[in-house]
Amino acid sequence: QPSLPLQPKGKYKITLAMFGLDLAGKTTLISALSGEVDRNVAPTVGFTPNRFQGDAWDLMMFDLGGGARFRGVWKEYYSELHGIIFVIDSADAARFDEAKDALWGILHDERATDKPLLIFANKQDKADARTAGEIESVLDIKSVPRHHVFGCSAMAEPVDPNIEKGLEWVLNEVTVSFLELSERIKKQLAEDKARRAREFEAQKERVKGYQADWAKEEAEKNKQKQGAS
Amino acid sequence: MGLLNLLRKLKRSEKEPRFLILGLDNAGKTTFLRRLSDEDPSNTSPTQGFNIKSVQREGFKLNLWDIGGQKAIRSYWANYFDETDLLIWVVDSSDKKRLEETGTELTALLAEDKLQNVPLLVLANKQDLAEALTPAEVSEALQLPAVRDRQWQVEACSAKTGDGLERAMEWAIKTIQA
Ligand SMILES: Nc1nc2c(ncn2[C@@H]2O[C@H](COP(=O)(O)OP(=O)(O)OP(=O)(O)O)[C@@H](O)[C@H]2O)c(=O)[nH]1
Ligand SMILES: Nc1nc2c(ncn2[C@@H]2O[C@H](COP(=O)(O)OP(=O)(O)OP(=O)(O)O)[C@@H](O)[C@H]2O)c(=O)[nH]1
Ligand SMILES: [Mg+2]
Ligand SMILES: [Mg+2]
Repeated sequence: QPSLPLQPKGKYKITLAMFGLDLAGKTTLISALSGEVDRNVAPTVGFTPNRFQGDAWDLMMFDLGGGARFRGVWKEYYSELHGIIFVIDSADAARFDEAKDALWGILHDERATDKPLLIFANKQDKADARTAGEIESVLDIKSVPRHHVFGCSAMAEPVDPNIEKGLEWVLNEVTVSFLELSERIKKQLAEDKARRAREFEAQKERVKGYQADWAKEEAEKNKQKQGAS
Repeated sequence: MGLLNLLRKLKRSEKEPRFLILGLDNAGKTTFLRRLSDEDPSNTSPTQGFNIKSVQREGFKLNLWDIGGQKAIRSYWANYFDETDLLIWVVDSSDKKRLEETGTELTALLAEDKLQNVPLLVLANKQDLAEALTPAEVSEALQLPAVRDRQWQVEACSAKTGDGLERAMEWAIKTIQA
């Protein structure tokens, strides 16, 4: 356990997010973290913020949808993350390439690179599941700094201790470079906020434009109707 | 902390959650409401005020409020914000022309104090039409990825055929219970 350099306001406020293909087991894993495995989760087509409190940590964990069409919005979340969690179905070899591409799509984004990377090689309970070491090769991340692969089974009851170990690992990694990460996040978030505000203003202007056009068309139509009768 | 827990518990045992249904005019709100309450969903006309229906689902008596969405009456929406447990935003996924308009209205709505932290269910409605956008496209158009203060989910559905409505309601009920 690394020594904690400092504890701002008593607790480290940390934000993490779960990424991974649909069916990887992200939502199930988060339910396991909460202590009660949900065996009946629906596909996520959205966003669920989950808050966890520990002695040293105040953790916000984002659960995102992993469906192919939904992956385009992942990038909207990178800025504020202290670390990245990626979940893979270790038994679904047919989708290993897809998973690798999805992961590297994250790692290549400048808002995500060099942040602690936790991989859960999930579904270890399945007979044909690859080991954590094999998954490291599958994802081709041996050379990525600050990563760790933990094999786990989100469905296991009682909750698989590796899930907690993985989380502990990433929280410790984040803690040792907390100041640096926080500075980076602050800067990136300010940029995002300014960009979104600009985009929203522009959109409102466009909508006003459309509405004026539609009103004009409507008036035009009414005039023609009156003319015809 | 203790007080907050107590309040939350009280709210839960009350078992009459209030769902607020909003969206642009012509999105399909009234059609959706009628579908849920097993009424004939065809031949709706634009809602000038509001419709309320109670439906039973999984031990809950849900109170559903459907408010008219025409531009001239959107300023009245604020009268209905109080005590909302879930916001349902209905989108005509086939009307690409008005996507930006529905986006600006929703963004403004989510900034309302009284709706802070209220979970959001977006119905990507009219999926029976060939030109309908997918849930992912709808979520981007609505800038949902910028939302951080609440849980949200997009469900593809057709209020006309009923497809997807049960799944959407399942999510809604699971969410208000959490
Ligand atoms: N056998 C086995 N099944 C699992 C495990 N983890 C999750 N599952 C199952 O895999 C399916 C998908 O799990 P989810 O948690 O919904 O996956 P997700 O990554 O959240 O998927 P999206 O929300 O669509 O991105 C569900 O049927 C789970 O019950 C596991 O460790 N072992
Ligand atoms: N094809 C198709 N049409 C739909 C669907 N849902 C609603 N409509 C049609 O869309 C039109 C508007 O539906 P309403 O339910 O009245 O819309 P609303 O959102 O209540 O509109 P306001 O009351 O003006 O705010 C009607 O002609 C409906 O039949 C759907 O899923 N598919
Ligand atoms: Mg999920
Ligand atoms: Mg109506």
